[in-house]
Amino acid sequence: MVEVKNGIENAIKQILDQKSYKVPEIKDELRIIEDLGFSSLDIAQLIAYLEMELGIDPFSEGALISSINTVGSLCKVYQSCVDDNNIGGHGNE
Amino acid sequence: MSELSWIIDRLQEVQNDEFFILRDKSYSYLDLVQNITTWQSELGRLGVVEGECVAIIGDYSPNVIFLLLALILNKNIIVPIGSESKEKQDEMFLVAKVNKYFEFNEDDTWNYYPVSGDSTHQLLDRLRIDNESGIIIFTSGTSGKSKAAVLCTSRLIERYRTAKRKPFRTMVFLKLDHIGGINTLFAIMFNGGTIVTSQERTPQSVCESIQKHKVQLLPTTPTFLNMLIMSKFYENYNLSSLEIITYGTEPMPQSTLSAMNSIFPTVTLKQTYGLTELGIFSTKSKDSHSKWMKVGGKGVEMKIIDKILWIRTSAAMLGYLNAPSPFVNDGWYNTGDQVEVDGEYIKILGRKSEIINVGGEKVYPTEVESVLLEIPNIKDVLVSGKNSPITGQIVVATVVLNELEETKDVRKRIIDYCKERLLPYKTPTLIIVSDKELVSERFKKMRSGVAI
Repeated sequence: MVEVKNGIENAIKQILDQKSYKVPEIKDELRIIEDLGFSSLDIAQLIAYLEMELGIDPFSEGALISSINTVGSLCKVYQSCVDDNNIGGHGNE
Repeated sequence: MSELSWIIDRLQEVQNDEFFILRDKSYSYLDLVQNITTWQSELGRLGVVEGECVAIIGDYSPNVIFLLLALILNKNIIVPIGSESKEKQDEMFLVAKVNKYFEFNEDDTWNYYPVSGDSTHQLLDRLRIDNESGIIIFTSGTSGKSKAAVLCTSRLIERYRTAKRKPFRTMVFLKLDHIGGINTLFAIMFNGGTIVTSQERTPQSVCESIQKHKVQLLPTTPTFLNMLIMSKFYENYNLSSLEIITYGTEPMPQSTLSAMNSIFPTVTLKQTYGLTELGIFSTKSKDSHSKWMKVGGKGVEMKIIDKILWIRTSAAMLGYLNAPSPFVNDGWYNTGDQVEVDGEYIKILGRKSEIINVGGEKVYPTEVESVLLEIPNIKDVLVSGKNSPITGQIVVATVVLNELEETKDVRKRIIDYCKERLLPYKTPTLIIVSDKELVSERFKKMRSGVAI
């Protein structure tokens, strides 16, 4: 979970930094659109960064965008994808 | 010569109804008709004569619409330009042979300017000889040069003259410099509906306007619907007035459509289909859960060759002002859209081309590449599209550097440079630094299949 959470925090910070927004403390309850002020392009960027950093794209594996309202829910979706891949034998042995 | 007198008759039929709501101020159809007359006098006073190309720089506002209608009735050729494209106005004026322009401020006041230059062009002269009004819409072109499509106004609005549907209180989403925005305006106005605007195109702002003004019809894009679903703002507002949500300009993910159906079980979800070159077509989705639809209407013919949709329609543009005609001799147009067919229904699968569709906006890789190549330490660049669950696709730039540099720093420099030169949707969302020396010829071959 720590690796996923760090990856998500770093990606969010990088995007906020590019937009020259003040980077807040990244807490689970922060809402991605309302609190972080992310646009559709920012969220698309976040997902693309995470695919590069974590090597997974939960949305191509059936995760629903309706389940990623907050930072915490985003972490859950990615962690669940990591866990599924490990169970499926695709993870690090 | 077209007869446009039905326009005023149609607007007068509903003169007591609400036409436009802007920041809580309401305008009736009577206000619309009266203001069109006032604007016609103003055009006469300013010496704007029929056949001239007149640009309108501004976004949705009452005066912009009053003027647009006055110019149509005055048989002018109208060039709508969104305020965000203002920096390109000189280039657009030159291509569209603009004679005069009106620039609107945020408070709906305006300034008028004449423009000098040659105003002749075969397509524009044809409109003038036929005593027709026209509309010029800029559409993305290769190498970043926009193509100017010339449409005949009377052909575009003919379908509204002959058929009326129920009036809806409609949120306007696409701007007037987009064929979808122009079509939405005509569809609202000629059916006696009400235009509702939203201060911003964010889920919260749109939900607020829907609740406040009891919006019934929301024409939008799958990208916006993704944002609405993610934000959950629909839970905080009373959106029970919504009857229809239409979506278009980009492929709809099945998961988004399913989510919308479960959130709004009583709302009809309907796909729209159109192109700048052909206008917007009447469509009928099989049902709210389906991406299968019938496309057509009076004067529209379709055929499918090698799974690609071809259309011939009387509403088609006359041609481009600055590019060869895309029509084959007998008037057929290759939409480039791959389709599946089931009896009378078709399903759009998307386009097999290098054009990147970001939330319904088209991006040509060469335009982005040429900007990125201006940046110091960028030796070569390849721009391609990558699927995204939020915006359909994103712009990906793979760059080769002259000298080693931290990826984070390269990304920041590229994004900062693009801020001044490219619209946000054209700016690379993902920037990959490649250590492979690749000549540009090989880059081009790789464009369609770049993976991360």
